[in-house]
Amino acid sequence: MSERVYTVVPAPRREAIRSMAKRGERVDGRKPEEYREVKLEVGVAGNADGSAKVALGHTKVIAGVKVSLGQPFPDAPNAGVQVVHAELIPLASPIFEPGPPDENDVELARVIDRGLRSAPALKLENLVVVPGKQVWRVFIDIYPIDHDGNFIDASGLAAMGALLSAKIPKVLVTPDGVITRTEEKVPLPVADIPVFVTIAKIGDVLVVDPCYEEELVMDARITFALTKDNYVCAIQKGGRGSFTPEEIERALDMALNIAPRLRAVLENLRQAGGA
Amino acid sequence: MTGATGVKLLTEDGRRLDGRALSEMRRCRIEAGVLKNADGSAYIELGRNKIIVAVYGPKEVHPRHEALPDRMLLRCRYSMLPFSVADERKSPAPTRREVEISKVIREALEPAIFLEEFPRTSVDVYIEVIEADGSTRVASITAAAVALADAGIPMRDLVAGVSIGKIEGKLAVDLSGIEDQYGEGDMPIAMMPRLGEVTLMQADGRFTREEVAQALQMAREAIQRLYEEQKRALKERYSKVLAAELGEEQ
Amino acid sequence: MRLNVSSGQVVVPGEPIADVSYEVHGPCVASGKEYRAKVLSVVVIEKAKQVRLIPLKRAYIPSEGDLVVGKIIDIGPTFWLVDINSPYTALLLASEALPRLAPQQRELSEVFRVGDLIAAKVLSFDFAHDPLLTVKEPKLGKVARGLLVEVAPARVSRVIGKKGQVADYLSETLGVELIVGRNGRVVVIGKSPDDEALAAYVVTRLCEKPYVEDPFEEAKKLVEVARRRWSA
Repeated sequence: MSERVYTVVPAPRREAIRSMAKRGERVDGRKPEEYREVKLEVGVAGNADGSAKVALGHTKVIAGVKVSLGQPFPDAPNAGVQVVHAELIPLASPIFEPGPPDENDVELARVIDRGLRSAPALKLENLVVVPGKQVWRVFIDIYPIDHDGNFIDASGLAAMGALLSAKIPKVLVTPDGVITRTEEKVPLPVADIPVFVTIAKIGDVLVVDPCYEEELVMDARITFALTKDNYVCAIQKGGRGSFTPEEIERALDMALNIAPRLRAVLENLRQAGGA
Repeated sequence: MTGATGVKLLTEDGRRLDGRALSEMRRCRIEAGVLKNADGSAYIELGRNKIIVAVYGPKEVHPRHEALPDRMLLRCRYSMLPFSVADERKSPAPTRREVEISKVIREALEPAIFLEEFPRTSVDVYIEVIEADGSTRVASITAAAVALADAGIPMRDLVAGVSIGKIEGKLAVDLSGIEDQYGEGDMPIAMMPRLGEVTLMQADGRFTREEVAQALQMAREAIQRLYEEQKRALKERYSKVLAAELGEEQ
Repeated sequence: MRLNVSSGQVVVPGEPIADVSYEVHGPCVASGKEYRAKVLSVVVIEKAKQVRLIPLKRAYIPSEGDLVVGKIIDIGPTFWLVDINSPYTALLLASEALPRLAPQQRELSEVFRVGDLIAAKVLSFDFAHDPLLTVKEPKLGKVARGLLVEVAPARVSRVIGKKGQVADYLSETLGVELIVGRNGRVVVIGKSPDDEALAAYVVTRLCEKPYVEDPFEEAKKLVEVARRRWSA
């Protein structure tokens, strides 16, 4: 209830945002197809095997990767393990309350997980050390720390930034399955580099990368995860409104347009010796 | 999900494992008003899927402080019964998958409901999967819309959903469990059939831009067929009552 | 599209009914050039250009002046909470039930206890506040005896009929007193349990069908049916 202080947009402001959108203007001066500035920094968490902090406008997200040797899942004995977790913590906004993950935390984690998995960012079959017994388990934890909208896109960039800059110990395996860790570190083998692009619908207008206020007044949003060669590897429609099929195609075209720019931010993180 | 483990899903003549053509949906049967206590209810069979939905509302919101001053609160709970799955018993505790699906189902139904008509009330939708065989979330939406209508909830349109998948490089309508598990992608889509608006859309796997457009078109056609079945179920439910002759004993 | 439906047809939400040149009564929404149903309803063509949509299920929404049969569910410091078979729980303030101001709470429970049935009138309701009731008029107050019948609120007006025709007829013919709540609750008070059961049967069946063209005729037929059944 108290969060209504921050989430109820006064009607005149709501109207203003909607009519601005009709005129092709946005609250922060952007055009409908304009994405905010992206800043990416890696190695921000020294104990993580890989980490990244993304600033997307005022939105900030930190992601950390921890990799460990462990048993594979029983139903996938010859594959590594990828687990994505996300939490919207109170630090990031007065509207977040402490507590167990709610549907928004879960949705964020699962959408990022699907996009990474389908691309695939990590080829899980390349993360096997001793088949059926020991595999690399990659845990990706995503924590937004400042809320100005569009956590999905920022989290995707942060997760990929952490993966691309992650290093795991080089291991030696004897024929009878004895593993020795060496002191040497090698890059985590990353295959594809998916990026996430979210488009919001305000009235009949599609705007890319919604900021917080836009998220409060939007009718609905749709996110596309895109691979290097322009495959769609995840889609998630969210929000209480709807899209016509034609709007979905237009939004997808907007996303395909923006993706290369976002990927470029990540590309130069690719390490020598990675997959 | 990524089709890696080489289960062949198409036969030489392009038929699916259960004999269907790529554009063919499984047999769908809906029954409205199957529960006595609920204000509205529906049961759906889609292939081997069996799902029951109960709707309670409009009613007072509990806890009271969660009531919205200007509209009805829609709450959805999607849950799979422990014995509903093919593999090992599923723990009764809500999984993260069920949490997410509950959210997207709610967001799929919301655009269709005139929420402003009953401020400070709630309508609760309970979805229980009795037997699962792929595409349960869209089948749940199709049944939930029928249950909402059965409960007299004011709506702009019904909502129906179908999954479009990719098996051996080709788009297919209405994925079964095995096709979802071993195929190359799954795209659940739900629409308001009359208004032609998409209210649920997700995907995993890899699709080209053209495939996304094609999938939307295939979904639209399949959803029209589901809409006919929804209407039939609702009309049949009440034609029995309407036909009751005066003087008949109960 | 002129007229899309026929009498007796069941329509689903969103289904088109007729174009805007028609008069359409009942839950519908004008969308562009046509009317569309909002709620699962049955269609009745009343006149050449007049269509009525009768909802098959409808929650009771209180309206000022409605007579309702309520159930006391809680007692507050200066009020009772009353279940009126509606998504909106009603308030009966002490001042609308008792002559004196500022009563003690235990005085309230001496007047109406949790579980009591009351006949009350809706003083006011707007969606922002709980509906307010009063029992300060003649014939209102605690319902001490009788049989409670619950019917669909959308159809309970048949039990009253045009200018009370049906209610008067049933009272006289069956020798019972009827308290007909707009919220779908009818109390039948008779001299014997059999009288009450018979009247309850008539009331229930009268409200069964989604549409009845002439409630008065229907009531007469049902009384005959009931009498045959009870005398057998």
